[in-house]
Order: sequence, then C-alpha cells, then structure tokens
Amino acid sequence: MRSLKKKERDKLIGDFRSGSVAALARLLSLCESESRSRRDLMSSIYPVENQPFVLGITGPAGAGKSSLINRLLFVFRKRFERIAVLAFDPTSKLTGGAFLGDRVRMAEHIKDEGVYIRSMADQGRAGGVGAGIHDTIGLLSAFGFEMVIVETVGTGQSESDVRLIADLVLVVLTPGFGDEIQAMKAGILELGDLFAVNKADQPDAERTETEIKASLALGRSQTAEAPPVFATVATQGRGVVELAGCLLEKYQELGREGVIDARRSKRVEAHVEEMLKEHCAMLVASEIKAFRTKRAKAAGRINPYRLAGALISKIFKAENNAKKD
Amino acid sequence: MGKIRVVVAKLGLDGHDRGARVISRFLRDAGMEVIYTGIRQSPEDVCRVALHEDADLIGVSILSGAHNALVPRLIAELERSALDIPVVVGGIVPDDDIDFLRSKGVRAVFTPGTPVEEIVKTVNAIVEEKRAG
Ligand SMILES: Nc1nc2c(ncn2[C@@H]2O[C@H](COP(=O)(O)OP(=O)(O)O)[C@@H](O)[C@H]2O)c(=O)[nH]1
Ligand SMILES: [Mg+2]
Repeated sequence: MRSLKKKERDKLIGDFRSGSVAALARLLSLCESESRSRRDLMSSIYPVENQPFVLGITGPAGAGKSSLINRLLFVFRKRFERIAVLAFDPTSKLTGGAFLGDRVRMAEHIKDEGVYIRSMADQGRAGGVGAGIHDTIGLLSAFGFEMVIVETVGTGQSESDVRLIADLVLVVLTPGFGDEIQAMKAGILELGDLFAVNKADQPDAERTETEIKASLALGRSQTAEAPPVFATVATQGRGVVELAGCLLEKYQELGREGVIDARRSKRVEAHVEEMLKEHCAMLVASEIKAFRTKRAKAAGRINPYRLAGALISKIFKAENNAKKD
Repeated sequence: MGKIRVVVAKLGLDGHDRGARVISRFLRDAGMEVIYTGIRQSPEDVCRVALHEDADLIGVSILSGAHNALVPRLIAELERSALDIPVVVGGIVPDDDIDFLRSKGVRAVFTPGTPVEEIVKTVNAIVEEKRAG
C-alpha cells in the first residue's frame, strides 16, 4: 500500500474515531499490508481502553466453523451490542490470491448494524491467521467492539497463533475425527478451552464425542477439569445456545482466576517481540545484502566474528543517530 | 500495494452460482483476494458487504435478466453510502442493456465468451486507475 500523506492519515483517523465503518475497513486493509508507516499509524490509536472478548475458533476445513459462528452471533448479540468477526481463509501459495467465502454462511447478519464481518487472507502464514493480526485486533478494540470472533484457517494442525491472540479458544471437530485423535496426540486437543463436535446429525457423532472426552481426560489429574465437549448441529442450531452459554461462563470463570489477564499480557509480549524481530530482520537483511555485493569475494580473509561485531555497533550507532534527528 | 480486493456478488433471486464461482476462481488465480457474498443478495446487502470488506471493485454476476432493475439500485446505494467503488457486470446481457448499464455508471460488462485474460486486464486497469486517485 502506498504510504499515506499526513493529511489523509489524520482524516482517516478522525473518521475512525467518530465511528466511520468505511474508515475502519480502510485502516484494516492498511494494517494488512507491509507499510513502513504501519507502526506510527497504529501507535496513534493507542491507548485503547476497551478490551473485547476475543474468541478464537479453529478446526479442520469444512467442520462448520463459519456456520457455527452464524448461529452463535444470534445468541451473543443478546449480550453484546457490537461484535466483529474476522474470518480467515488461505492464500493460494501459487498465485498469491485467495477465495474468501466464509461470509456466505453468515449472510443473515448483513442487515444487523451491530455485526461487522471481515474476510481475511492468511497470507501464507502457518499459524492460521494473517501477519497483521495484532494491529487488526487493536483497531477493532479501539473502534469499540465488545466481542471479536476470529475464525482461523482450518488446517487441522495445531494453529498455535490462535492460542496466542484469543482470550478463549473453541475447537470445532466432526464425527469420524476420533480416529485421527490418536495420530495427532497433542496438537489440536491442547489448543481448546472448549470443544464442539459439530455435524452431530451425522452417524458416529456420539462415539466421536466419547473418544474426544476420553482423550481430553487422559494425562489429567482427577481434580483437574477437562475442557467441556458439546454436540452441535450448526445448520439447525442444535446445541448452540448451550455452547454459547458455556463459552460466556468459561470466559468469566477464567477472568476471575486471572487467566484471561495473563493471556492478554502474553499477547502484548508476543506483539512487541514480533515488532522488534521484524525491525531487526530488516536491518540484518540490508547488511547482508551489502556484504554480498561488497565483500563476498574476500570472504576467505574475513574474520566473521569481528565483522559481525563491527556491523552490530554500526547498526546501533545508525539507529541512535536516526533517533536524534 | 495491497492485494486487490474484489467482492463478487450474486444479485437477484436465481439460485445458480456456478458462473460467479468460476469467475471468482479466475480472479483469485490472477492474484486477487475475492470475497464471495453467496446467492440471493439485495443491492443494499452487497453495498454493505463492499463497505465492510474495503472492496476495490464489485463484480456482479447476474443471470435472471433483472440487471436493469438491480444494478442501478446497487450503484445508487453505493452513492448514497458515499462509497466510490467501481462496478462491473458479468452475465447474459443484451447489447441494448449494455449501453443502458454503462449509462448508469457500470464500468464494464462481460458477456459469456469474454476471454478470462480480458476480464482480468480490465479489472486490473480499473482498480489501478482508482488507486492512483
Ligand atoms: N450435516 C451438517 N452439515 C453442516 C453442519 N454444519 C455445517 N455444515 C455444512 O458443512 C459445510 C462446511 O461448513 P462451513 O461452516 O463452511 O465450515 P468451515 O470451513 O469450518 O467454516 C457446509 O456445507 C455446511 O452447510 C451440521 O451441523 N450438519
Ligand atoms: Mg469457514
């Protein structure tokens, strides 16, 4: 994205603050792209007082995550004035394009002013969500959403990013999944605070539920509570009210125990770490490029330890001077 | 530059979306992010989707022959919402109607048989022009 002129940027932020959905939508796009000015832009919307309930929903593709969100929204809207949904789908590795179809299942909510749905591409990242996710959630918080639901790309693998960005994680599985549990061992089962066996209208649902419960109980002490498992039929809405109720209860329970706060601290820590690494990686890349063009031929006579030391001092000096300007 | 974001919308009451899905795939393979709305959308719904998704362009797929009624309504709704988002139409549209739609602000009409390359090229050109502002 071309970088914004200061005037454009101020207008955008002004509109955002006065509640313009168009400005929110624009800023979310800006945050997804690699703009250098992203940090400045985001920095100016902080501090953010509002802390929404961030619910992560993960599970294999086709398990019914989007359909379930569609149903959950009806229940959660009775509790929250404004809810945002971030629905991730995979970026095609070959072409860089993406087909984002999650909102088809949530089309019933389009007339509801209290629901904002945004389709996102994962930009080929392994974690199930895109690179700008911290900025995205920051913007949605600042805009005043009370709840943010994040649907991850369903690879069936353990999407560790969702654990990091969400207050609470719901894992959606389907009948027949039981057989795969043994093979996966940890992974997806360690990810969830709650589990739904969706498509419970299909054969084998009960057996799957039992198997998942057994696997979750495994290796847990008898006093430690295993995560709850719910049978749902997203297409008909069966089990959804119960699931929604339990999600809210769990959120409050973990809140009282200080777990939610601890997870949020972790989230901020990870975000800061990511920004530092990103910045350092950029500096390193430019030094390595310089090395390749200027010194590569004399590599045999170079003391790599000395050179690394010299470059580190150089980078820090340059950074300091940049700050003074 | 961020990826081009195209909302592909099915306006009207017919429930067939093969055409919309095929064109979505072509645009995706051309490196764009394609947001699909699903079938039976009203012009007002599509306008809201485009708002939420920060769309660079809306591609309307239409089979029912109701394009003369529905597409101008979409364009009017976009204007009312102060959204400057170009609209293109794909589907079976007679020549007379093409002129009518273009007079209402539709940027391009793709009838069956239009080569994919031409669709992609046109979409790219319209978005580039708009982004250059
Ligand atoms: N039989 C049945 N089909 C379902 C159920 N939930 C979702 N589906 C269907 O499963 C398919 C994938 O659903 P979707 O919500 O897109 O899954 P996602 O990829 O996990 O988001 C769709 O065709 C849904 O209609 C369910 O409870 N029972
Ligand atoms: Mg989905």
